[in-house]
Amino acid sequence: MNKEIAIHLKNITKSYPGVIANKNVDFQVNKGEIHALVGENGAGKSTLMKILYGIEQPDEGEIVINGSMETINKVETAINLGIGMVHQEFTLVPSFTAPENIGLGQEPKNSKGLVDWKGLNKSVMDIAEKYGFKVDPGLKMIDASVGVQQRTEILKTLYRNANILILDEPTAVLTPQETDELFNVIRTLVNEGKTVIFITHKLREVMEIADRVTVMRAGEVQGVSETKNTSITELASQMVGREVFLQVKKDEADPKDEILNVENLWVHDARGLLAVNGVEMSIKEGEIVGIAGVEGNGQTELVEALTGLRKASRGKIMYLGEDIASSTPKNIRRKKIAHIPEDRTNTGLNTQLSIWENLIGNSYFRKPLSSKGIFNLKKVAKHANKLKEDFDIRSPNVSLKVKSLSGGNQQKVVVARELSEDPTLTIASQPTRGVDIGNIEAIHEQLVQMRDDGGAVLLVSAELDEVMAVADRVGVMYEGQIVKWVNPKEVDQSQMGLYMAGVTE
Amino acid sequence: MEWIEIFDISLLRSLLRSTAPIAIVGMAAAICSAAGVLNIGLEGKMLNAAFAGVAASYYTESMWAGLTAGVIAGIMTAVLFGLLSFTLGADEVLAGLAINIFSLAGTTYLMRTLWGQAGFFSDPKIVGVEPIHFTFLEGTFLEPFVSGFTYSVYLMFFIAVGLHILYYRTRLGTAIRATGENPEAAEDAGINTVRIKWLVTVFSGLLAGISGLFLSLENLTMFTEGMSAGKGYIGLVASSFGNATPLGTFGASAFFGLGDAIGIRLQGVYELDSRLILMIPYALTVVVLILIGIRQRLKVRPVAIPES
Ligand SMILES: Nc1ncnc2c1ncn2[C@@H]1O[C@H](COP(=O)(O)OP(=O)(O)OP(=O)(O)O)[C@@H](O)[C@H]1O
Ligand SMILES: [Mg+2]
Repeated sequence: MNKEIAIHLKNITKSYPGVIANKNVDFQVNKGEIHALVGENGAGKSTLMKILYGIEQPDEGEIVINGSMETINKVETAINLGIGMVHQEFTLVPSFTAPENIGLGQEPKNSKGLVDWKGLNKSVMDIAEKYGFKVDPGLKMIDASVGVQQRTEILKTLYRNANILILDEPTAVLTPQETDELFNVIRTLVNEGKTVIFITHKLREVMEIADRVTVMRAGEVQGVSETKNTSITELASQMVGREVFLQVKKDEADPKDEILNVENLWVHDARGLLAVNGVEMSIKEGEIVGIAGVEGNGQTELVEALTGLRKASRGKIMYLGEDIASSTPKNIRRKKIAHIPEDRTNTGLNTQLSIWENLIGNSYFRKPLSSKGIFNLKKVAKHANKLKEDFDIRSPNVSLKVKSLSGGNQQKVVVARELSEDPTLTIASQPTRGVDIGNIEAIHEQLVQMRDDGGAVLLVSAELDEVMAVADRVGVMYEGQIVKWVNPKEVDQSQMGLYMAGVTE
Repeated sequence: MEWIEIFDISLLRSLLRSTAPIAIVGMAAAICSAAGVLNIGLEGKMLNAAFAGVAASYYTESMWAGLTAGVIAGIMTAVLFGLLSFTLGADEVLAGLAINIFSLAGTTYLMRTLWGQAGFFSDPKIVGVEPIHFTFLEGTFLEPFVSGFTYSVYLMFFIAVGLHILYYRTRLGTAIRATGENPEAAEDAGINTVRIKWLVTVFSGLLAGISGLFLSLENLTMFTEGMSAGKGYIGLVASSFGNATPLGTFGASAFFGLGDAIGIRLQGVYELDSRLILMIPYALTVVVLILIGIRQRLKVRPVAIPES
């Protein structure tokens, strides 16, 4: 079969102050293929896609779409060329419904020039049906799950007749089930003749769904391969430039005194529904306790209650012999409990502030960073730069806005801040979301190090692999309860799958 | 006199008259804030329009010249706000404040140098706006309710309904709301958010102009130093009380208008100190502000620190 080329980015160079995000990049995608784009955090994947979508302008280089050279200097041009993009961070209007978001800027008009909302709803439902999506036309995005938000984003591109879809880390926020659904959608799209560019850090997904894969490192293309001719290990070392251990190295845990004991904890969610009902849990120093489970089974609310972000309705949270169930987040933090929240942009960071300001969010008040309410900027800079080094935050300097960092590097800022203050208990919720393989390895090592230094760690993750590899003991959460405790070495994936579906015997 | 006697047709008429300038400038604030523009420069736009209206009317002895000049002055002030905020990238709050201070000083200065007057300027040559009488309603029960107001009182209803349709039934309105709520989403949908911000700013200049003209050519035919007297700010509060929606803002403005109207009435009935009456709208503002809380999102910027 003669392959037509849908996209050819030629010799693209793009630099930001202090960083070259793309360096002479050559990137080709065939028509009708699923093309994966992988690379470390900050490798320049999102930047390259933003150039293709007209959000950023390259300093040098050419863009050829379906054989003709194009200048894409605004998003509108890209849309008209049939390119659609779903961003790493969603771009939805929270108070708008799915159809309102999907039609934004392109709403059909009636003869009076007014928006034809009914017509819009209908065409949205038609497209949704064609590709096998479920859509609730009255649901506002603020109340929708991430999976639904993502489907809305994809529908938005389809509504605009996109033939080339760019999906920037679409699976980072999805549960395994949602990921499977997304893959079905992608396959349908390709069967309909669409072309899909798919960015991910999960190489297993690349092998599962992509036809070809391009690997980037430090702004340059390292190589292009057909997935059937490559392997995860090969891709990983191409990405990172060294061999990566896909296994977590750790010794047997040596748990000592009890640090945290949760007794019969009940928590209601934001809508007033019971999300956690009767969780019992104990964590000792020197162990990593994992919580596995399909997202939405109360993990979020459990962590919020433990960290003081949500009031428990009933039960006790005994920390070093003291009930902290009605304590405030600040007091809880002062007791050396660290929290890596699942939502980095809204809870974990102030993206408008600089990297250093975010890095000292939990330590700015102590000596030597400040005294009598005044910062010692030299010490602060030293501290921030040390964390930047230690946690490999890729940025020219720590005074830049967090917003200008790549997604994975933003996550590293959160992890660096939280692990830096020598916590007694670390509550890590999806700590490696959006982080590349090399840095996942590093974060896992750091969690194990915390444990070996006598700390206690609670790891909540939707990545089953992650929980099973890092935790010493795993509780499976289902409908607000921990339905099963397992030793991760003694159960297999399919057994866990059953527990996660609530089948315990 | 009984309390109940305060509530009669003349109170309603007074309510409508008091509401008009607040509602019109309030809707200017609403459409700006719907698009994410914090426009506190409305006060200055009103003042400049009020002044330009009186000046043009005085020199040409034409009401139309006055109205046209006023509206143009409102729009020009809005353009200045846009240049400062969008083109030069100044902080919107500071740009708005600068415009208010500049307009107060500028109009006062011009009044003194042009006409040698301090405090206020009034002259028979200033042609004001006459009330509209619907002759076909004469003698009907509707007449006392709807006849005999100046045009702004009628206009405010059209603006409210028109904006409501714009907000919820047009592409432009959806684009405006999207820009205010998530500019990145709007940009991503191919909407030029800077253009949207310019558009609402210029439109707010037009509305603030109309509201300013109400003060100097409709309600009175004179110009007084600082005659907008905080109406622009009250409009902002009304818009924020009304969640930046046209009808909500209209309702909130009517609440202020009612306070005003009752105050005027009480003055007649109980011979209250006029200063107490004049305080009512501001006291209400404080009450409303307490009710809604200050929803001001401060823009934060990263601070550079020395590299080690
Ligand atoms: N607006 C910006 N201003 C300054 N630097 C930027 C900006 N956007 C991106 N960068 C820098 O460009 C580089 C590439 O970033 P990019 O977002 O393309 O990485 P990525 O490959 O998508 O990484 P991730 O996997 O973490 O999402 C990074 O070093 C980043 O800090
Ligand atoms: Mg990225």
